[in-house]
Amino acid sequence: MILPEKTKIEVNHKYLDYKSIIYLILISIIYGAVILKIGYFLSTSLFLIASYYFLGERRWLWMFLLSFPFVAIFMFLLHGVLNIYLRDPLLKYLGIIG
Amino acid sequence: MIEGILIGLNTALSLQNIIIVMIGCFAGTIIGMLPGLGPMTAIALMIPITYGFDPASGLILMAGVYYGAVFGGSTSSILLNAPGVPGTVATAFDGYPMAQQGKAGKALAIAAYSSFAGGTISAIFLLIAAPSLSKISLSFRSPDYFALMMLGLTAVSAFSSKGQFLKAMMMVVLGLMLASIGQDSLSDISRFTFGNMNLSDGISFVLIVMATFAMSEALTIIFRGKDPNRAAKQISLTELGSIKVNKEETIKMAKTIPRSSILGFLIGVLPGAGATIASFLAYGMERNYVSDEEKEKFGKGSVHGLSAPETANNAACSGSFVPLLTLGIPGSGTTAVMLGALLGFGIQPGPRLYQTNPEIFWSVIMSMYIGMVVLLILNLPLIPYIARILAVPRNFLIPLILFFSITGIYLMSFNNFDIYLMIGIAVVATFLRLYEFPMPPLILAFVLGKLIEENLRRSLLISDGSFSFLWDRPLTLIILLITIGIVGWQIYRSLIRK
Repeated sequence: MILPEKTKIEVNHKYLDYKSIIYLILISIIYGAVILKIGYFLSTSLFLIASYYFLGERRWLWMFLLSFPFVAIFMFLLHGVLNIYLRDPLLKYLGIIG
Repeated sequence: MIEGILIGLNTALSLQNIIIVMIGCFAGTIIGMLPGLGPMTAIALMIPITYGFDPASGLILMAGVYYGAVFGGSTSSILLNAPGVPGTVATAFDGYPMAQQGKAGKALAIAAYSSFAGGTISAIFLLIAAPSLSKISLSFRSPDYFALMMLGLTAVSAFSSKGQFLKAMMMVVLGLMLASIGQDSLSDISRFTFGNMNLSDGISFVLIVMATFAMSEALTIIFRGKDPNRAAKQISLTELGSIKVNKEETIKMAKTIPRSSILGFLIGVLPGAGATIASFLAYGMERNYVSDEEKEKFGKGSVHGLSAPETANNAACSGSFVPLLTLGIPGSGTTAVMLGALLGFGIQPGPRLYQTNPEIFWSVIMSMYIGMVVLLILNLPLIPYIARILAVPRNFLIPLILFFSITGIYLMSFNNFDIYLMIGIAVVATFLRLYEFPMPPLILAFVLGKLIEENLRRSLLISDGSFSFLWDRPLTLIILLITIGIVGWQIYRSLIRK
């Protein structure tokens, strides 16, 4: 069983995008840290905008459409249509969800 | 059986479930089409959405997503020469040259018709095989199950790892280690929790699938973004040509489909083999069957060369459901994800599923077939429009995949720890992917870990602590000998290569 594999995997580190991946992981960690505090809607929308931005996107209209309205529709589908409970203290405080 | 089929049809053909299977096929096609994302990611991303469904509808959604993703994978193979999953690599051999000749629409149509025909034939086999196998498997005992699961893990490692058996076995061990975290079911002793209460229930299956597939695949796409070798050579997505297939091509397909379906189904039933091996074998077999003149066309846009792997990989998908539905043991990574989802619904697949929940058993089989019909009627004419999803920039795509993954875990536990754990596992999995460690063996080992342990312990209890249960029953012994044979063959092969 302890036989070395013959086919060696060559990974060219020059082509690896460390910067983008570190940014994405950091944004994901921050998203995980704040999701319970500021609520699903706001944290997810901000997470999406930040991720688009750090991946090099600058079309602000698309960035906006695919964050706040997109998350709102997604939440409506989950919470309103499929009846899946979504914990969001902020929206609850504002009286938008029960 | 007829009664069962009617129950299944009754459930699967309700308006709600037809809409669900259509949405599933559509979503699966889109996800499967994206290079790097396969059926496992597609199913994993759907798990959180199924929380709100009853078990039958949830499984129907997943079956739709599964077939949609397989079809989507063929689309990206044909249009971009970028197979999303290994199962569609052989499709690109003749599909991509055909697309380059301006016959992309025709190639997609041949792929869709072949998939449909392969799926239809194998669904009939499944209808016949599953109930009879369920009855046979009722005679299986704990030692047999233990041996079967060991065989499944070994076979998946041997076949899914592109000649890197050792790496695959390392992933199996990692999967078993992850499965052992949490409270021991017999003695209530905490194992490997390091005093952390969040780990006392073990790591959730959804978390592992999301981290090792959806999230790590998304991160890998970004990580390797600068690699010039990975840039897809794109053909025009707006001009795919006609999707009409002429008489000569239909005759060619009619010859290829029956033999490739039978081969695909039989390979799919075998644990670990699955769609990849089925498609390659069917391609090779077809080459031997055709005339010398046709043989010359292979690799340059042959109808036989495209139809054979497409038929076989779909037939193998149905075949892989046989061990899952009859024995409760998944034979592939994708069916392992399905098993996890079934367990999440509180359903234990196996020989008794056929008796205790016939509506689920039959509605899954029926919805698989309805999914294929939907793919043919709806997806094929829409493919020129769906194909444009390939032009969606990854700057939008990757964050959306990460968002779906994190949402899935958030919905499940409302716990920060699980999100951090998922990110951690995804980062490790991304690096493992870089060095071509295969992920399906890890998932299969994680899903089977608890079942292996349960059956091993039960066998040991019955045999009073003695390991004689391994050779007491001829069935156990035969299965274990096959397992040892596979390991021995892999060692022999690497010795020869040296």
